[in-house]
Amino acid sequence: MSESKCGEVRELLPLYAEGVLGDPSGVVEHLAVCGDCRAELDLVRALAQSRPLAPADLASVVSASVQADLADIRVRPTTAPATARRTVTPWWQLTAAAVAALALGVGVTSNLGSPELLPVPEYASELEEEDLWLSGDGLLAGAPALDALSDEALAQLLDELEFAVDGGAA
Amino acid sequence: MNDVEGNAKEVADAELVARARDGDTRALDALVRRHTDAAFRVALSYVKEEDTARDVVQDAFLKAFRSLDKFRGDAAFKTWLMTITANEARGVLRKVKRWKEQPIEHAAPVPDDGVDPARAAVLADEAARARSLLERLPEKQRLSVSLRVDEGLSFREIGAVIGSSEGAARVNYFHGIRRLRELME
Repeated sequence: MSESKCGEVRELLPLYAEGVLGDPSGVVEHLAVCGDCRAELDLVRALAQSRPLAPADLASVVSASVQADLADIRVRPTTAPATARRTVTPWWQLTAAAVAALALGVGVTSNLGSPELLPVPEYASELEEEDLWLSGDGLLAGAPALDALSDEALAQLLDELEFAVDGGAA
Repeated sequence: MNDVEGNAKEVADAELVARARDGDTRALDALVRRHTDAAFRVALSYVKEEDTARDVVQDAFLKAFRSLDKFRGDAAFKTWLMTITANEARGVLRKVKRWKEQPIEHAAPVPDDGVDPARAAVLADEAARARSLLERLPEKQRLSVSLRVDEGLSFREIGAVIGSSEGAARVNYFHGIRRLRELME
């Protein structure tokens, strides 16, 4: 028996044992004439029979835990009323708000001598902060633009935003 | 009937992932139930203790779903989850720095239909013995055999999970099987 044929068949034995091979005829023919590969099939079947299973409650525990975790992420920080947090915000509003937020940052950058805030569009003021940055829908509005900034640039932008807020309050 | 609940087995992982991304908790639940056993086996293969393996599985799923947006579908969801689980388990081992050889609870072997009880008992003993001896193999050989036999992963996928090349995963599998046969004799 050629070793290459044995190698090909042995690679497929786990799939053959599970009955998921599309065309098992080549394996069957080889097994009929190769005792060594039949012995290996016995071992593979023995392993498959003793496959450990997760404790019966684990999937339920994990599922509940993951759902609670994701819900927690979506509502954090929880300063808004619960009903407001459940509101689903359209993606275009998030994007528009992110653009407004970035424009605010750029505006502050170009007006360091004057801490006046640029006017914020009404649609941006309707959004909760956590909806914008912690939305669980995968949009993470503004994130691609921010990703392009270095850590130093991000830190500077944050400083400038804080400066603008402080300046506006004063 | 909701199609996720009614045809969970027929719905592909990719479809469930897309729905879970959109906040469909039933799709998320279906993914968890579909892959908990596999994640548990990978975790157990590393950490050896059931309680620790439970924690690893939970943390792995949490990380997977928190970063679901980063999953691009280049690999199967199962492979991606197995890779996260393996990383979590290795992280636990690094932290705990212990490696206990402990007996592992196995699922009761299911004898084939038509096999007489005496023969079934022999097969069950052999199955339990094979699984026990598997635990003696070096880590990468053990994982390669388990991921191939238990999960049906390709060698490329196994390489991704255990952190090696496709070729190394194949070699580890064959060395593991050969060693196991020697131990069984």
